[in-house]
Amino acid sequence: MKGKLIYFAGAAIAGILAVFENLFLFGGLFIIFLFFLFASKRLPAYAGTTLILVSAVFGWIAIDAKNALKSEYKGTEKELYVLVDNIAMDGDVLKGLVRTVNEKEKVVLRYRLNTREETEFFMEEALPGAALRIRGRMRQPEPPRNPNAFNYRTYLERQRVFWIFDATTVSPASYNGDDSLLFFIKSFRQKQILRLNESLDDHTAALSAAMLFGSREDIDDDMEQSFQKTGTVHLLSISGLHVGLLTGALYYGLLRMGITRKNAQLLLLLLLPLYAVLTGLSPPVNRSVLMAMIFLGGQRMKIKISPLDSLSIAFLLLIALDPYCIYGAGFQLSFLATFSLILSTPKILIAFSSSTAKLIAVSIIAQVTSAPVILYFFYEMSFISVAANILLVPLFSFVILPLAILEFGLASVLPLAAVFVGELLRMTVQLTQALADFLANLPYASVIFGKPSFALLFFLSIMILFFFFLLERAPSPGKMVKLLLLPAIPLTFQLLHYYFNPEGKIVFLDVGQGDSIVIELPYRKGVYVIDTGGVLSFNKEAWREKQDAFDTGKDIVLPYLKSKGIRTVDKLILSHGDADHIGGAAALIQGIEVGEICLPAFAEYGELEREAVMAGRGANIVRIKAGYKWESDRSRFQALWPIKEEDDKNEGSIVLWAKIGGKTWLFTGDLGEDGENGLLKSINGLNIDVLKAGHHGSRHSSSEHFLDVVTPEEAVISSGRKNRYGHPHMETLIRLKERNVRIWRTDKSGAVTYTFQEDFGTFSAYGP
Amino acid sequence: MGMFSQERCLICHEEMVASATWRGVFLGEEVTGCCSRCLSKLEAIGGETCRICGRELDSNFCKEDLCLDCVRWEEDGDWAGMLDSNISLFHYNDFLRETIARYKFRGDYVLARVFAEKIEEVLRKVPHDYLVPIPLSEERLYERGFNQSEALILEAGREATLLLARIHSEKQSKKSRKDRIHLPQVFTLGRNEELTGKTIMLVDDIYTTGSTIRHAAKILKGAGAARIHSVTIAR
Repeated sequence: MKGKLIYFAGAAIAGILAVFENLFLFGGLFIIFLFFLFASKRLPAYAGTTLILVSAVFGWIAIDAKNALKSEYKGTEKELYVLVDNIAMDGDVLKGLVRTVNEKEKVVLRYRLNTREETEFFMEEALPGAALRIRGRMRQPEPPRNPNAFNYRTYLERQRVFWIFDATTVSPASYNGDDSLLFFIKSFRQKQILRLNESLDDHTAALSAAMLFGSREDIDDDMEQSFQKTGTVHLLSISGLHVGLLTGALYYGLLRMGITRKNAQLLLLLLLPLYAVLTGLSPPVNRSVLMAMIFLGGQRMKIKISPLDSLSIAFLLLIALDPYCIYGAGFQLSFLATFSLILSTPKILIAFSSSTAKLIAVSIIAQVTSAPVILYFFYEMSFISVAANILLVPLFSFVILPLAILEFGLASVLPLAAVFVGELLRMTVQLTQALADFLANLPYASVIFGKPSFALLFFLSIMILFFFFLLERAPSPGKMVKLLLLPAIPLTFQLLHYYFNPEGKIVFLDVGQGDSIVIELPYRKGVYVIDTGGVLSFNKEAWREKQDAFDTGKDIVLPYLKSKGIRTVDKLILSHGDADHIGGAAALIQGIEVGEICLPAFAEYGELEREAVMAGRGANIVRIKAGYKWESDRSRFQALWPIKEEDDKNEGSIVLWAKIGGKTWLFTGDLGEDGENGLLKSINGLNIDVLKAGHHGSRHSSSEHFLDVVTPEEAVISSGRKNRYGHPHMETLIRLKERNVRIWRTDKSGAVTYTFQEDFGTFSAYGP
Repeated sequence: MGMFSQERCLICHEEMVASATWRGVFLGEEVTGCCSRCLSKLEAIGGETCRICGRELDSNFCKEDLCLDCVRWEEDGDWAGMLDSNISLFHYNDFLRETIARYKFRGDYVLARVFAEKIEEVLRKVPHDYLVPIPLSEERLYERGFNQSEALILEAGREATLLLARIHSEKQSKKSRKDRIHLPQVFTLGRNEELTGKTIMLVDDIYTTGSTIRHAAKILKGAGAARIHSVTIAR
């Protein structure tokens, strides 16, 4: 049975997926697999029985976990007593996980802080284990409102979190907090992270907290972006390598101190789980800590346990404890990378003699095996990750980590020396950040592939297996490079298939209260984005500013474009200067290549327009007025408005007429009644099929006269759920209904999509 | 794949743990059959090798791309050009000497598997028409129970063509180089096969002076074979 536990892991995952995903698909696959093994006489009957048993046990565990996905709360509770699990402050928002005292159920707590003093109070008092009384309202997490968007509800549900509690008051409870060892370590961790934030500058503190305590919260978006784009984001979490290094160093140190081998092993066995808790129980740490413990335990009991077996045992333990963890990107990446390196060690890596060559080979192997997961979760892949890893891995492992440990150790004993080390650390971090930024900004550092289909992922996985099978037969560096062509085939297909796709789409994204429309022509003949949505921002006091505030451009439009494999937006049309239309423009432009930025002519730039133009260095800036037109493939576009300077920003909106997918469209921005009348006067009749109702369905747009002239069959209203303006107004809806216009509303149904081929297409709504 | 049977190293009989490979896990292919520790004691022959006999070249003992041994062979009119090339896998160190002794003298047949995969690699690289093991005399075959060269071919999953037969004589290992070279022919053609223009690959366990291989080569070239290559475990 030794050396074969990997098959148990396979049987277990089949059992779990059969329950969670599809009984027939995964149950069937498993049975076919067993049958194949029987038929080729590789599997004795009793082994088959054992595997079926393992799969059944894990299936049962999965059923159990699935049944536990139920809340004990009705959602009407107004007051809860909770223990803090983990709370963080971002600007004036307190957000975190708490566990209710009565039902021991985890709940997301959100609370808007009123004063700066309150922030400081919670920073010091709301440590893990502290008891709080919270009052407010419970609500369910939002399901996604746009295609391919991150599903926050499922994400929380898989951690058995069903409610978000919007608190109006949060106060310390007289109830005794939890002072168990677990919470003691967690609160120690929190305090140390605070200490780091106080004594070091932002970046250094964030990176130290990540290296020492596995806390990613303080790492800002730009930094994370650079590491993501260079395929080195794993460095920002504590990796198996770090656990290995620390364990090795400690073991060696203990032996040097004269402690016997046996006792040193025992001590490590005790310390490792504490370290896992201290670093926030992240999947890579859990994996490597378990593997180290299995190895040490085996040594103590004089049993040889192969790395593959200990990986399998760690896997089986973790999925038995929480079968839903298999859905985590970190979990998948950590296990896949380790699995592939273990299998590559005996034959493939041996063919690389120098340590640099080995490091390159390891990076390539890890990148190849993780490709399907990276593609599935992030829609883009880094192509300089091999180079970036070779530069950054040693820097992190042998400079930043030791310096961070040193700084941390010295801080309480020799504060002055700690300051010196801290300064050294700061310079290294700065250098690292500069290096990562430089690499991330190289052309083609990171390529957007779009969301892959399961068929493609399957094809890619098969190619990856062949890559390893063939490489193993005659391993050499040259062969490895040649064989990379195999996984390159499905990747190239994914990259190019958009250019052969006869299907086009017009998507009215749900950006809350605001507009954002993505027009994707067939065969990738053009991608146009009209507006980006945006959040109204008020001038806030400095302490209220969030580090990474929600931005529709960065958090809704950009992920959608990436999921569709869009690498360039040919034209970004910013209808007018209001925040709900172009608030996300700057962030979008920073995140994707934009060919042309189109702004309305006549009006002076507003603040946001200036920001967008500044962000769009390299893009053409075009000021649009009536008469501006272009054609692409079978589609035609023409601006009908503005014709002159307008006093009101809304009335100066770009109005775009288009003929796409067999229908004529009118995108009116925030044009009001005056503008509509002016527009009708300036042209000679206008008959369209689909109207994007002006100004989110306001009563001051889509006037009777306008509707009577343009006679749309369909109208799309882009407005936010429960928005404060009451858009769309009842009057507008009645006017449309009276004229038998079919109405599509993003506030009701999420994104609205028109999918077409040649001159035929259909509307569909994303949500229920 | 023997799901629940524990593999042990064919050489040292220790449990094998650290040898999971891609083909092993996914295709159920047997691993080399020997553990990484034993594998590390086998010194592969690499770098610059002699064009004919495949030994590692030492700059003091070579002439262009030939070792001095082969130079002597090639200067001898009787033997020049008999052997076209030989490939040997490992240096004949103490560890390999002991392993090969166990294999052929003490009948540990299964050790053939340790080398079969490497032999197969060579066979794939060098094209040939016939794969011919160096034969044992009938007496010797009876004594050992199997022909160690043929076993290598069979374990590599190939077919052996028994073109040669051997006249019984004293063991090669008991003779000096001079004895070996000036020996009368020890092989005869064992089978009538049209060899004109054919390429033949000889398989043997050890290449010491190269006389065995060259005797065999001489017989085969005499029968019309165009090229003779050979592969051995040790050199």
